[in-house]
Amino acid sequence: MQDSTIKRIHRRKLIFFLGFLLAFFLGLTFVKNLLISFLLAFVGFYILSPLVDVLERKGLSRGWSAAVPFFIFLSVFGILLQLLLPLLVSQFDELKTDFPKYSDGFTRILMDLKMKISHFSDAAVAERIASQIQEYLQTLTQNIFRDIPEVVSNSLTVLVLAPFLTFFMLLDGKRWIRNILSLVPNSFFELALNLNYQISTQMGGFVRARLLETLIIGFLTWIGLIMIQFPYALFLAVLAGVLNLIPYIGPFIGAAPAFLIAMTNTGIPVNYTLLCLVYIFAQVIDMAIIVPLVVAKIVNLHPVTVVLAVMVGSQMMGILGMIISIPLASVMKVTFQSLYAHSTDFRR
Amino acid sequence: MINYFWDNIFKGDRKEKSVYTTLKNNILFKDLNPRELQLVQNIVNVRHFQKGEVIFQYGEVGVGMYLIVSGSVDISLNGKIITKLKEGDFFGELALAEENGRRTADTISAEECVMIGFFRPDMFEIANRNPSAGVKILFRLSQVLGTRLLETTTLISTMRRDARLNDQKNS
Repeated sequence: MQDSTIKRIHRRKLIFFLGFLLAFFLGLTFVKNLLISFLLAFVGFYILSPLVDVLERKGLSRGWSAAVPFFIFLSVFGILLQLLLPLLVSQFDELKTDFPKYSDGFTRILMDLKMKISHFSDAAVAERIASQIQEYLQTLTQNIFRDIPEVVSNSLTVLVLAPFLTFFMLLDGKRWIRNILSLVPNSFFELALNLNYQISTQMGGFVRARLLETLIIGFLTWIGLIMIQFPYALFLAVLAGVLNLIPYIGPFIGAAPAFLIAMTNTGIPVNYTLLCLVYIFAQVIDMAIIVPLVVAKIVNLHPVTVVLAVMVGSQMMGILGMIISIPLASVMKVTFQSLYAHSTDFRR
Repeated sequence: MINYFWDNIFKGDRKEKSVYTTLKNNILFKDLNPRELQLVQNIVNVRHFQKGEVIFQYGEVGVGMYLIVSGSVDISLNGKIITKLKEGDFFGELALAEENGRRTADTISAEECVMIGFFRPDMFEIANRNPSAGVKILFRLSQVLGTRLLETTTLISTMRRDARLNDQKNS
């Protein structure tokens, strides 16, 4: 067959493959709840796939190897949800009811701040700054309280779809990937297969380590806040654990609500030293045990790249974007490096 | 219609069988039991190449080896064909053992070919899912690479000896 004909066939196959990927990603982006369901399914897949492999090594069929850990995980998750969800919801409702109290307290703090600033600068400027901060915080908190019920109602769809996808990813995921990769033309096949392997290995380690980090931070914060008898302990611990996934600024954003509550809560005396210790202790454990694991698993991204990726992520998809920006940046780095090496680095 | 009637509608099954047979007869997989062979068959990649299509080029980063199920392949270096491989033969196995190893020759399909691509990620998956099968394959792979090394060493020794004899004759 002529060289030009072969090239034409390769080009067509490549366009078809890239078109398929594009359609898949567009579907994920535009179909409601699909992206978050897929992300959660990937997390479930990466948590459970080592267990599935272990069971398969013991001689169980792929079906049983996938089903046993999946249903055990689902049961444990269900029991935990049954135990913790009522507490979490009651703490959230309590916080919502108490919110005017904190809002007033915060306004008082801003007034004090305004007085202090006016000693150093123009009173009108101080007034403007204080009112802008107040307005921003009010809108932010109103949005949070408005959005959370919607998030919960959406999460019902996600709660059904994500486990369904996880199970089939565990059962048939590798075959799906092989079928998709079979669309790649021969000239790019080895590259695509190797790239898929590198990304999958890297993401597996990264997701497992980050999840462990979230659980440890959340658990330590919860126990610490209970010990110092701080209100809304579970709700604040969940926030601290989830927001800790955002690099660099995550731990600060995660701790901020507790300090804001402490500053504005006139009802109970708060020991700031103990509150600081709770959050710092959780971070120290994270830095000493978990970060070395995570750092070992993630592609060596420069801190500037990390900050830029987080900024782009936050602009495009908010908090979710900030959380997924680092793994996505790692994937893009590996892909770019491999493509560049494949297309330019020939040694004659 | 008549053609359709007489056409073999179980072609897919036959293709699967020929992939299975090719794997079974290959030295790398000959120690595997039927269950392990079935696992390997589900993991490897069956690729189709047109006549004249480049399989890989000298200097490219290689990820694994190819087994010829049907057709033939020309192996060439600097534009000269150095060998022709046929059904059941395999090539590129060095890339299985070498991280970011470079291909040491050009390979082009001499006719329409069906090939089994067995790559490093496939080997890791087999070792992960069935370590016993992984060990058997790796043991055979080391045997193949050892034989290649021995052949190369013998060839170099012979060439050196010939060169020394020539030098002695000339002097």
